[in-house]
Amino acid sequence: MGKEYLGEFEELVLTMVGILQEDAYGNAIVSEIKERAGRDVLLSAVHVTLYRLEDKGLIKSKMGGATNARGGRRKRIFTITNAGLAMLRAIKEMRTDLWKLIPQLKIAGR
Amino acid sequence: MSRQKDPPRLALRFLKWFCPSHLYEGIEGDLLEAFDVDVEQVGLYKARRRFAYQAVRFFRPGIILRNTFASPFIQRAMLKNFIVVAWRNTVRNRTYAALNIAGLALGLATFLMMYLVVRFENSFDRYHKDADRMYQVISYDKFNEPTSHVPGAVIKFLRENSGVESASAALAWPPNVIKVRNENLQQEHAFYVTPEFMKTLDIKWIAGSPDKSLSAPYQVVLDEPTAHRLFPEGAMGKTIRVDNAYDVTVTGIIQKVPVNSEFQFEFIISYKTVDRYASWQSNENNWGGGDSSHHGYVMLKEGVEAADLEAQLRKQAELHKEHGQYAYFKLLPFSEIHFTEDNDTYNYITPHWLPDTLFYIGLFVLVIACINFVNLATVQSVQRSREIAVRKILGSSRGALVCQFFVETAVIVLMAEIIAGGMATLLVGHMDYLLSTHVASAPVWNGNTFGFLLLTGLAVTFASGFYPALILSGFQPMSVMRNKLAALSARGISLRQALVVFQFGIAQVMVICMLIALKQMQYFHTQNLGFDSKSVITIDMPDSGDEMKREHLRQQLLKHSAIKDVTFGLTSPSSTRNWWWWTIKHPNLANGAATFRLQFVDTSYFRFYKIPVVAGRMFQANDTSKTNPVVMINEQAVAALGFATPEEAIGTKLGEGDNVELRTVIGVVKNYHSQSLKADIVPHLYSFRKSNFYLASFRIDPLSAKEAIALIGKYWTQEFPDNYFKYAFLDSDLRTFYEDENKFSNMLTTFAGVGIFIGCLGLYGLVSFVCTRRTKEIGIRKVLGASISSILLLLSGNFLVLVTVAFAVAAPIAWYVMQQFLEQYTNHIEMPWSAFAVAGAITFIMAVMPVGWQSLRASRANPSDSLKYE
Repeated sequence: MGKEYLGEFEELVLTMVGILQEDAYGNAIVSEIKERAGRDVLLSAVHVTLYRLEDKGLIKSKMGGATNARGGRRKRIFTITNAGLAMLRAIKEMRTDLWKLIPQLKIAGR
Repeated sequence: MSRQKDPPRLALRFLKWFCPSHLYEGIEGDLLEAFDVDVEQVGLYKARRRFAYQAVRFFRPGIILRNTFASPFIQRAMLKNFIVVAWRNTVRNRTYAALNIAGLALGLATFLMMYLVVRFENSFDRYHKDADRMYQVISYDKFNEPTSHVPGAVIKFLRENSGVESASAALAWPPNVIKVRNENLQQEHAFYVTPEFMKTLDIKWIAGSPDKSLSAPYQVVLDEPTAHRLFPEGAMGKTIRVDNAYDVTVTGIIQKVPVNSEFQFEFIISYKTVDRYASWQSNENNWGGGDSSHHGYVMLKEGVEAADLEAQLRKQAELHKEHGQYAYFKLLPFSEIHFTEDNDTYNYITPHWLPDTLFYIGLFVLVIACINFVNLATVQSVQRSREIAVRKILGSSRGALVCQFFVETAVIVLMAEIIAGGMATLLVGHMDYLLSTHVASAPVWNGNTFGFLLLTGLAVTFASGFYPALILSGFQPMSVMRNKLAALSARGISLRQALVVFQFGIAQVMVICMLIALKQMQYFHTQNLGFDSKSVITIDMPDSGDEMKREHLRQQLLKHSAIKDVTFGLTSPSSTRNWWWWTIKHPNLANGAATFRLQFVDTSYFRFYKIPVVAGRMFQANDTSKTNPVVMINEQAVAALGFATPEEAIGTKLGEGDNVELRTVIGVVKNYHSQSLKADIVPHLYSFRKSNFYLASFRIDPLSAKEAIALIGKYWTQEFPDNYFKYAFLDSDLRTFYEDENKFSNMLTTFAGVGIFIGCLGLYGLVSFVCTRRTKEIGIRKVLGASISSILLLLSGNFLVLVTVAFAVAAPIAWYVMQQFLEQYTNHIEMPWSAFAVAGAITFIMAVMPVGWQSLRASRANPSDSLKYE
């Protein structure tokens, strides 16, 4: 099996799951993305991505307890797995390494 | 109040319908939560809309398919296993796999090629932007006879009609000669066309435009290849002399017209030129008859019904009855032009039955191939039974097994399709030759072709894989493991027998049809037409009126022994074109008038063509006198005029069209076939009019044909130095009558052969299977003293009985089909019973060969070899 790669949106959603910890479910992720990244995303797109990440073993899910809100429907709560964390870390490190390679001392004035 | 706060119920139901149940709760909850927030923030109306939108957006593969592939990992692993097993099976049973693939590939290639032909023929002139509003006008005379001639007055009427977007005339009239840089050249595909027509067709203009390039007289537009051929250095503005009569200037160049168009325009002269040069063709006051290659085309405004216009035209024809030739007109949709035989076509006609029959023949061949597959799969089933039993014991569901067999079938079909695609690509050119179409010149591989292959592949996979999958997946593991397959194989064999009968039934129907069609063709080609067409060369005369030149040519040529005889006339006794019709008036005729075919003949014409005069006399040199015009007729005309014997007709006087003078009948010639044998003999009127000799006929000595042609060429060029010398053999011209039938019998011959061949492949597989299974039995029989011949009979007898049964089924079907086929021809052969015998013999021999060979091999095997192991 080759190395798994993440798409940009997948990475975003995975990060949000990591941030929200025990409170990561569809709507929460949508509003978190809206708040932190300023992007309007479709609920369905988030759901599909979550299931895909689950297939890849980067997050896992369980049904939360029933509440009175949401018409009594339970939430599907996602939590990041160790593999997911490792993946995020690897991405971040690679970014940093690459960033270092860009010449930074360019003088901007003309 | 809370009811009003509900989200749209329809959206929820839709979500519930497609959403996998294990995901549903989480998704619905999220949607409802967002809805509650929205109701607070943006109001109920907007919130409901957002809810519906968000819910519908969940309708995507990532959600929907999660249901179907609940455990995608296992499924994918099994699929891989299926393909591996399929591949191993293919490799292990190479003979069967090869037989299967070869049969299916042949069947698929046939079907694919048929599809290509049908698609090509059906694509004619459908590509024009407004093709659905474009029509060709077809005229019908008082006798309901259709013709494609449209008089100028009709075109004028249509052009001025409010429901018509544009009406145009076109005239096909290839010049005898064109002169470029003092060189005499020939130019086919030459037309006189109005600019309106060029605008309605989808034609790409490289230089010029319809309005600028064709609106004045003496303008010509060339297509690109012609422009290059005539003027390699650039054609625009150059002049060409046409028929030594007038000059035209090149004012435009168009791209070559696609091959799937009736309008193969290469040399387009502005229609205005016709007014100057032959105004009788284009005369806008003419309601009468004329040249059948003078067509009328019309483009209706959107929403206008063709029937409305037809009614208006009928009224107009009624108004101009006095000097009108036609009773009514019909509008033929553009897409039908290519299929309508009443049309004096600009390209070629394919009657509907031809592509239709082709398609069904392709389908039948494919069915034969599918049956092969089913048969071979069922005989192999015994070998596979253990594998299936083990799979079942290990927990495979029946569905998974069915899936496995379909995958195996699909692998074989895919391989066959790849081969079939290659074969079709290579052979489609050959197919063009057999059917004289131009499929190969049109793009063959496009999205449609792949779509067709995909669909056919799926259908074939399903048809061939269905039965094996059903039988094999139904095995009971217990009985298989205990080697109790007897009951099962008995069932399998009876179906196998039925399929073999079906397969060979189809093949034999095709063979019988082929033989009878070929016989009918042979009859057409060898039937005595009533005149002698052997060793006759014909040449179109450029200057029909010049008697001096004509006689000079005749005198010169007759001095040579290679030229036996020379004569002149309107056409040869039988020709595919240039038919003139004349209204003949006589009190004996019904309504006092009838239409006779008109033929202008020289004094030597009947002698030349060996057409006997049965009464009266032939024309003599002095019969041209205006005071006592004389004519001859044929026996059919005698009958039409109501005379009992030809002698009685001599001296009778006939009225001719509007002429006041009556013509005296001086002679009657024996009937001969002036049209194809598909039609009846029509009444003829012969007239000796020297100004209408458009064709010269030369009978040559077949032993010195080359010399004769050289001589004719030499003297002809001397008399007509400004013309292009082009000759034709009458024999081969006459064959063009039967082009459709030729195509039909050609393709039947090919595909009946392919069908039988595929069937034999299957038989070979079946017999070889039986032989391997009965190796020991044969060994024991031989040890006990059985002769080779008795074993041969034992092994192959069963199959030969099947082929015989198939013949018994096929013969009546073929008889019925061919009865229909033959009855459409006026002159047809009797149902040839020998064809049935020959067809039976051919299939029998074809079947005996593989069966006999395999059985012989098995029966000659040394029993010690076959009994040794175990």
